[in-house]
Amino acid sequence: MSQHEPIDDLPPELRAMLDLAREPEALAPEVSDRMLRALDARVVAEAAAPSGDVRSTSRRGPFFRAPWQTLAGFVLGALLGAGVYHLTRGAPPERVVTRERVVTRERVVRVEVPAPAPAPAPRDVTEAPAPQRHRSHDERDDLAAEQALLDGARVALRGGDATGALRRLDEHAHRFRRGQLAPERELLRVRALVRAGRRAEAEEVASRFRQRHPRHALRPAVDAALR
Amino acid sequence: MTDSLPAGQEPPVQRDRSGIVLPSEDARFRELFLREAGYTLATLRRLGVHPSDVEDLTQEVMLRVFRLLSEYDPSRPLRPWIFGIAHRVASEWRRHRRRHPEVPTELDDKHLAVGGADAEDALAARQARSLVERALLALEIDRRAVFILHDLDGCPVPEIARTLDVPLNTAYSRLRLAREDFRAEVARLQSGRTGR
Repeated sequence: MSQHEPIDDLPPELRAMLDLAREPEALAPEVSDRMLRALDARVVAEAAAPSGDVRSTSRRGPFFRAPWQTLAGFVLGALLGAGVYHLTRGAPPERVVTRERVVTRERVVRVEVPAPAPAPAPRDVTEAPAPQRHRSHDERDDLAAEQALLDGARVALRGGDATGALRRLDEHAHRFRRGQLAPERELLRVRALVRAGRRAEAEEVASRFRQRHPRHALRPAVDAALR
Repeated sequence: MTDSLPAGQEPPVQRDRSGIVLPSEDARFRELFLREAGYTLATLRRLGVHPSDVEDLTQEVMLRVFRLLSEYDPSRPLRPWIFGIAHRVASEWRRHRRRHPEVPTELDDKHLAVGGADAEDALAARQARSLVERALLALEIDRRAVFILHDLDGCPVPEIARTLDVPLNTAYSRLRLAREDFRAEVARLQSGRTGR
């Protein structure tokens, strides 16, 4: 059994004041609607882009799913790589390799050049995977960089630093003009401009967003940011 | 204090075409939201969240509630559970905010419904809320959480200790100190003194 020090009760006038202040009022219907729409938009956005805007607000922080995603990425990448490797390690690619060595070995040239012709095909196969691997790598890196910039903007905005948020959004726009998270960037820009008191600009950005993405899941959130 | 969700009430969950359950279409969550969003917003304000951020953070708390609803134990009261989530969200906000400190100066009721209550009663309630919220700001945050849960939300101390994950004696001790601080701060505010 635990013992605790006796606690003085509050005087009656303070009790009465707390009673008056106690019951929270209901939200205005338009505020409830707006919040529910925004919640829908965030859930949809999260489902559409698991590492996107909403992820950072997960209860376990922005990196809750990252290990999963990273692991899944590695496994998929490994499987894909193994598949490509098996496809490309047949006889034809060896010829290609030999041909590349021809530059320094004249005798090999004589042996290999007459070889029957499917030479172009292996070249396609051996050249294709490399850029593909680079591209997916780059995309992943880009997405992470985009995410980091937008997270920085979001944190700045939450901290009341609209100017700092806008600076990060500008940097995102500069580096990833048509980035994967461009719509999220524009939503944050509207919010930051409203917070900075630059309402006309916010409305202009929102209007552009509506034109470019008339059915985007974040559109309700953009509208809500202006209210 | 509002208790848990009605027992056995599990309305069918609707999904949109892509299979995502939307908060507005999940009847169980929607009912909870309409009933508890006002409480959540009030709690965040009492925890010191600035009026300009309170709507965003209410949304954040509600999003987490939506995600965690399947983990909620219906045998426990609902509001302390929501309070625990709001407390974490407010703490995260405070950590970011520390770099750009800004103290709420007045009560902002723009989110609240215009009630049908008598105008004088409404004014008295508003003044009381304003005074209470200003006095709460003077309380150290851990004490403030216990005070809000106990003296405003009517939560028993053992449940508070569970919600905040602190020993029972610590919860009692915080409540005692919080009441002392609250009394002193209200007296200070009512006497019109300024500066701390």
